[in-house]
Amino acid sequence: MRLWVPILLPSVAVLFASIGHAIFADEAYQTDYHLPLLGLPQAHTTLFHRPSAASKASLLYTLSDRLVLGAVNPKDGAVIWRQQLANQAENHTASGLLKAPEGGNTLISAFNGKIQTWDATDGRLVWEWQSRGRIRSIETAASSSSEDEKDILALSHEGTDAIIRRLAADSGDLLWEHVNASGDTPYSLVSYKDSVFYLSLHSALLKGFKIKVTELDASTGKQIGQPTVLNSDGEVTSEDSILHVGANSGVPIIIWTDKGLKTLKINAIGTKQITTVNVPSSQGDSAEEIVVHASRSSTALPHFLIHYIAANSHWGEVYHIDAAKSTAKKAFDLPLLGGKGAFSASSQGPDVFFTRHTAFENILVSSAAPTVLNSWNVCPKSHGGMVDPQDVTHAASEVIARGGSTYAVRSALALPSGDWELIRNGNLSWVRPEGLAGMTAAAFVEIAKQEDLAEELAAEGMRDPFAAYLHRLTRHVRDLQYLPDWSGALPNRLLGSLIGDKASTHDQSLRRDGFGFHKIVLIATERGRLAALDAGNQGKVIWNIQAVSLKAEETWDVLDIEVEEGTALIRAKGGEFLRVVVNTGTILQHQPSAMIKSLKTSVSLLDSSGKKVLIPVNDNGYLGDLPKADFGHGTIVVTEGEDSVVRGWGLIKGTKPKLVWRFMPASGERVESVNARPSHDPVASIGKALGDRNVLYKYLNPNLLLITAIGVEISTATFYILDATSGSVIYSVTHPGVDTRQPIVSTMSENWFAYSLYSESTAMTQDVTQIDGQNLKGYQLVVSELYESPYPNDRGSLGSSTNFSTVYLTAADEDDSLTSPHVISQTYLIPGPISSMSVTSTLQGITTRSLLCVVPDLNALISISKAFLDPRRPVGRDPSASEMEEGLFRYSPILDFEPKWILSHKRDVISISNVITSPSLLESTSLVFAFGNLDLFGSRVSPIGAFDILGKGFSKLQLVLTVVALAVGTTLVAPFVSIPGISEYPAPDEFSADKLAGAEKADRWNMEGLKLFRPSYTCG
Amino acid sequence: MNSFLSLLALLSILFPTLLTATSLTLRIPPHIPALPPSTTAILTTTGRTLRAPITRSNSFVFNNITSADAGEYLLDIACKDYDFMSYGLDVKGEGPVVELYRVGRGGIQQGEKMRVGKEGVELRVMRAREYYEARSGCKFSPVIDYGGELVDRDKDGDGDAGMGAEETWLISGAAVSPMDLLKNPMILIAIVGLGFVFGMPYLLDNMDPEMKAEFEEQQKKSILSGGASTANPLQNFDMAAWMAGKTAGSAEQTQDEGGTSGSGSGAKARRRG
Repeated sequence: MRLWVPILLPSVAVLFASIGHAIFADEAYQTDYHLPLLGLPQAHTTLFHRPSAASKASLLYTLSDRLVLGAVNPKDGAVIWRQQLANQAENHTASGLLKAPEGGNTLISAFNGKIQTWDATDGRLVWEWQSRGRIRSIETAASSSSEDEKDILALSHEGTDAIIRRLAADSGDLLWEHVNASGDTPYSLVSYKDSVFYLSLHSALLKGFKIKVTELDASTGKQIGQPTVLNSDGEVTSEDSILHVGANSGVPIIIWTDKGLKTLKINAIGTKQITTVNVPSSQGDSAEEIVVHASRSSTALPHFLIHYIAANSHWGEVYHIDAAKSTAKKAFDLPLLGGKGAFSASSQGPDVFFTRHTAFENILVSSAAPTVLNSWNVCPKSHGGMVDPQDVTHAASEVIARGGSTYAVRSALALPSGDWELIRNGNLSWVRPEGLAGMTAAAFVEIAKQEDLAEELAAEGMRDPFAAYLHRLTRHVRDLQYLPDWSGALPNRLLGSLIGDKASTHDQSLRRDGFGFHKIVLIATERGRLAALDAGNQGKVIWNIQAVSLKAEETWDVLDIEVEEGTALIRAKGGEFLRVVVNTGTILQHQPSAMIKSLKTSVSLLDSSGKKVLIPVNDNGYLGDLPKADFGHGTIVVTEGEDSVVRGWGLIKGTKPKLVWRFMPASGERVESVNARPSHDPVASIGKALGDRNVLYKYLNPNLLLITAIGVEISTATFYILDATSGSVIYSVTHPGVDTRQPIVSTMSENWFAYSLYSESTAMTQDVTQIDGQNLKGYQLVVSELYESPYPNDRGSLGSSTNFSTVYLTAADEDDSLTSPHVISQTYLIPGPISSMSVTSTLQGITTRSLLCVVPDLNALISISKAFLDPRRPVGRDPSASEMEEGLFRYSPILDFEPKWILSHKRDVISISNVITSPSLLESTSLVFAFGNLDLFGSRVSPIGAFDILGKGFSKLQLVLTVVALAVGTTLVAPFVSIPGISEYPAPDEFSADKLAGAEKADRWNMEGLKLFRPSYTCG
Repeated sequence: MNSFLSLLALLSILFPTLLTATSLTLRIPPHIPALPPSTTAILTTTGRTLRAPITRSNSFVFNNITSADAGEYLLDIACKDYDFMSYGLDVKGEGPVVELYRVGRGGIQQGEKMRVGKEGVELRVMRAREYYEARSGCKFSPVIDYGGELVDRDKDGDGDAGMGAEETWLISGAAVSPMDLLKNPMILIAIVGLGFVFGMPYLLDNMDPEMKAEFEEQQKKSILSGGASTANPLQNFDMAAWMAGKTAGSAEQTQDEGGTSGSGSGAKARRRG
């Protein structure tokens, strides 16, 4: 590794930006697709809200299970803004809190110890405040300083203390804090008029908890009177027993239940009076879950709805609170309906509306009387679009009364499939496939070929001529039915192709296209869902199924997806596998995880007869018993064990695999990743043609492994190149002073590998990386190429041999020169971390490869051309003429992420961690798909420009018109040219026959001189 | 200075919590419009990363920087719209003291260290980020309007219109109109040429006989139809005579002597041609 001093030189990379791939403005948003996801919306943090007091229309806000806070346009389901409250590294088990004060223009979110307020319109931060403990509850209270904004009351649990704080609305400054050191478990805060009620759970003597209510003065934080203790210890066994706390509907109430869901207790906070309600069992069904719905508005009537959910039915009761007597009274019932429905509460002025959602209808009732105000039949197909009617998990709705008895209702329904859809007056507006968040594996799948015609032609060939003729005639008659459609579409198609309007000719059907852009992307999520996207059609979801049923908190660890003709085999942890039809999503075969606990997966190999054999691999990195198969010359299976040992297993014959080699990293290090060359990694040329017509031979070993090992304590990262057949280390490099918390990623292809890390020079490395007495620190990208020998036209000790073995060394190889290739490396300082790295793949491998890197700081996917990262770029001098011919330019240690290289251009692609590529039928272009915890993004990349396809800048109309104009011109001018006698001019002297012959010779000579012409690729 | 230090010490005894934490405000130059909500300021040092999202007032605020955060950080602004200058940031001592300086890639200090006070510091913007390659013949303008005004599309007043204009991509189709062809200089030349070819004979036919006769007379005299010497007049230019300081008139004479049969006006016409 060389790291050269002139770091302070201005970046010359900008000058060479044209080398790399760039996105044309007219192709952006056309060739690429992006699904910006939020994650599953949560019931208590999904709401319609006006982003500012002046705004007429509201937006749909949600804080999802993945802790993404986002605003969605209810009109079309487009994400307006998103903010991630937690880093990917932080655990997602804790849920977040969200408050949207009425009439304000901010949203308040809390997660762990951090409170953040966001501008509701554009999603930018207003202020943030960090507490030392976890925030348990947030509330708002009318601010004294500003009329629109509301101060924030926060309850945090710090050590054994519960601390209640009041933070100023505009700045987040601390106004007062109240420490409650009673040792009770803090539960919630309720703000009501000039008081703040602090609710805590006080352990009762025997079992259960008593709810303790402490009243504080909202303006000073001083405690008022003695705490009220409610005798709830008979029922409250945990926080889950409390169903509802809030002052939302005017009067603050708390509702709790017992473990068996037999009774409900309702208390107006601040009083000791408890109303007891027996949970009704409707038509013999007993409730399994109880949910309370109340309006968020503080000016609305104090009405609330208790929603009882049984195994296969649901019903509700509406209660009214008598503010004077502080008691709750049942007003009316909402009858039992089948299926698991959802209720949502909304208000307009003082009126409270409850909307009931079932699989088939939406019913709107007012909280005042049991009459149905309106009801709409919901088309069953709207539920997810492609499956049977589903239950509704939860809903948020907005009701607008338009005077008289007409109401406009729109509801955002969360479905068990993970789809989130908006129903407006019973009609589907949009569906967002939020269930796709958390993708674990993906694969490109070719669309199955249309074999029909080939089969029919073959059938015709087999028959006698007359029968074949009849068959053909019937086939043609049958084909006639498509003629009207085809001829109807013809003018449009012709016109479209002339004017260049590609959109009108966009192929919506699932058929292969001539360029190989149309493929299916199969994705598997950790929630057990499997989906297929149409990569040729803006990533449209073709099908989306629940492939395996999982318990709560369980995840589906898909290891890989293997594609066969028309079907895909999805392998998950524990030997589980699933076979699906790619076009339809039909599950053909499902084998749940095996009985053997330690089984990790099984890999399929081809034996010498071409039959597929499954090799079981255990968690500890050992292979299980092999099925009977003959592997001919032998096969090596490499496993990575949990003990940080990489093992190579030889399979030849018999049922016992033989341990051939073991690899352990240096002490203090553990294996982070093992990379092999991609399965589709064609090499177009075995050598690199230099500017002076010599050849540098590439070290092309199909069995190379790149092992990344990191030492957390000793802050090192070591990269080993291993030969997988012999297990010998061919090359290794260690970086000291590496921050192992930052992403360390690597990739390998052809005869080169690349990795990226963050390092800061230490005492150990000062001689190399210190400049002016300063330590060098930052993100680095290192690219290394392997050659057979450092000299051109030389293959080192390989000589002219066609075969070589890394296992059986000949006497001449004993000096180890054979197994150690010549490695050239170069380091680039990059502006930010790279969290994932992969390489483009094209059909023949002729096109220069491009490094695809995920830049998490910029929420972007970037494509860096390998031409840029060539380690042979001359260092400290300008390139010579022959180097320039080769396309090399002066090395600069600084490599900027040029905006033009960013494949995701202006899109915000967040939380992607994996990138897969697939070749298209065009040599210039590779298909790319990026996925991860949240978003998915797909595009096409042409590392050196799309040289084999006409771009959008090409106008067929112009071409046709030019040809027509020329033809017309020629025809008109022809009479002038054909003047009689013009052809009778004698041939000039210099074109006599012998002189012509001489010229021809000279030409031939020139051709010989050009024989060494080397094909070179330039960007178009 | 001494009195300041003692005051500092006194303050730290009186208000320990006040002095151990400080906040750092980084401001964006006022001419820069509202940055997208994904914009983040990132402080990186070995084993530690601090992040601050963009605020509504177009700035970044790192709260609660304590002496436990001491270290030399790299400050990067991850922004979709602009590239920012690279900075280094040192947090040290009690207080703690925060110093900002310009760095090159690799964290090498380039500028003077500057102490950052309560009021914060303004960051410098290098350039706007340009994502797209221009292609001739295509007029596309994908525009993302982040801080834009919300457009209320709720025309019918039922409140279900939602908001627009947050991400509006004004993508107009590649409208190739035949009139665009006329803007092409090659096409214009061709049209003018065609005009001459077809228009000339027509013009000649419509000339009055006298003028036509004159024109034909001139044409006869002209070298083009006369079959006279086609030599370039410049070839006959007497360089030596000209350099010897002969007058223009005599030069003209020399030229005429050089065998052209045309009159003076003819020669002039020739030179024009």
